[in-house]
Amino acid sequence: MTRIPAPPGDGQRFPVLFEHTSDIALVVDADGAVRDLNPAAERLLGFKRNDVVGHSLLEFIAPEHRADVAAIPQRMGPGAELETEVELVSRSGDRIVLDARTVPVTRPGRATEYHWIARDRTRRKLAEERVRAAQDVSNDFVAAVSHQLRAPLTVIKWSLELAANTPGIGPEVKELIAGSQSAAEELIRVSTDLLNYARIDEGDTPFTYEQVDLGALTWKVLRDLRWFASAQRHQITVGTAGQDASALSDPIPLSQVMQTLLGNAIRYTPPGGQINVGIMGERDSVVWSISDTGPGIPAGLLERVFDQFADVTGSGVGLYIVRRLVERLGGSAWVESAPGEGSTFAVRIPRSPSQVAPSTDAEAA
Amino acid sequence: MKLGRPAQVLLVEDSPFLRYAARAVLQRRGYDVLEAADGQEALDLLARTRPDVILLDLVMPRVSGEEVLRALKNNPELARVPVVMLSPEPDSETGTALAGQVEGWFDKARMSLVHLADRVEAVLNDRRVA
Repeated sequence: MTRIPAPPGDGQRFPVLFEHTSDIALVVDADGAVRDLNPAAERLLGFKRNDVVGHSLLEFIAPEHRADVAAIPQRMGPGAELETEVELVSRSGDRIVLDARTVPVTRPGRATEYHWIARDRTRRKLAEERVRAAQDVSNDFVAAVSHQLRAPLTVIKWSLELAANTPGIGPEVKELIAGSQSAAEELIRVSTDLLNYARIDEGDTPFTYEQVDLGALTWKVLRDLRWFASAQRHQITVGTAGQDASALSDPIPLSQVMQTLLGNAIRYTPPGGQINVGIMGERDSVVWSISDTGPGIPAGLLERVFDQFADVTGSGVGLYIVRRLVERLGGSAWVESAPGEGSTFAVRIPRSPSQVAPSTDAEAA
Repeated sequence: MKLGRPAQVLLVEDSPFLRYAARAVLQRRGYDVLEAADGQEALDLLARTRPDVILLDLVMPRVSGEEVLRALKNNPELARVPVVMLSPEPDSETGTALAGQVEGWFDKARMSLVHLADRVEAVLNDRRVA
């Protein structure tokens, strides 16, 4: 093991720094006893120098961290210096989280000493926990609100459908109903997006993997969107090529991805458009793509279209969710588009979750 | 489906309006529609009748859709009645637990009434063939 030689002057090169830094400095001998500590360490621990020097460092370490700290000398590889997170217990019993760096120091003819330099990150850690908790609360709130919106929105939607089918209504009323229907659809879509958005960061809903045929899943999703597509008078085709289109994946997020991309294509392609779904079975993955004859995406927006709130359509999170879901499934998502030439969105789904995902950038055209 | 009478649909849904709208469309298609406003009413009805298909909301007061489903599956008389859940497909965990016990999921907010009637028809056609 490489040892850092002791600095000249018996370690007393920067006595002022040692005394006045707000970082914690401790010197521990080869047996783990504290030989010296600076005033910052005294303040933090709440002990006077004399109550600490000569005692084992482990007495001041939180019980569950003691084994780790005791093993520090063994864990130091060549080049020495080891960074660890440890928790001290102060005199008043408070836990103090430290980012610690241990440096072994060897002097000729003497046993190795360990110099500890550490920074209190208790506050930062607390702040991080608070931010996370606040995010959880806000996600739960968004999920609850969008969930609550769905019941009345369904009532509006179904009422309008009944009204539209009432015999004897004039063309003007029909127009009004159609306008309200598309507004209700938009609201439902935004609430769905927000619900999915609030849920996507929940790490505790693991995927359930099973053998999924992407072709069959596409037809299932299309069946649900059929009435919507026929209202827009679009031609929709589904073509398969290459090897078989099955993957060990989770059908629920996959169908959510397909719903969003198919829904967008149907919605943003002017009536009477052409929408083609292509499914390409490759060796280690299946590429699912959708092309439309819509207005296309301007170059400035193209790079950001999968970013949070950059998607200018609807709630602004639909494509962000697509990318996040696909990445969580081990795949990637990309888009090719030019104004006036339609858009092609594609996702690559690995044949099994263990396969390494190709990077999203490598796929960008 | 039994011959000589229209197919009977049990509609279990706590929103009075959604029941009204669904009933209107299903009756127009010629189905006999029974209604229950929550899981308990559904269980009471199921004690004396065997519908051809059940449309079952998941979240309801008193007795939930999940509990109704469990009661159905434990009753040999009713275990084979097809059930369509009137709810979006839940996350993986619950979805997996209920998969195989239900004919499918029907997200009311995303679907139209025509689609609901189509779905009932498709389920009944499947059963007739089987």
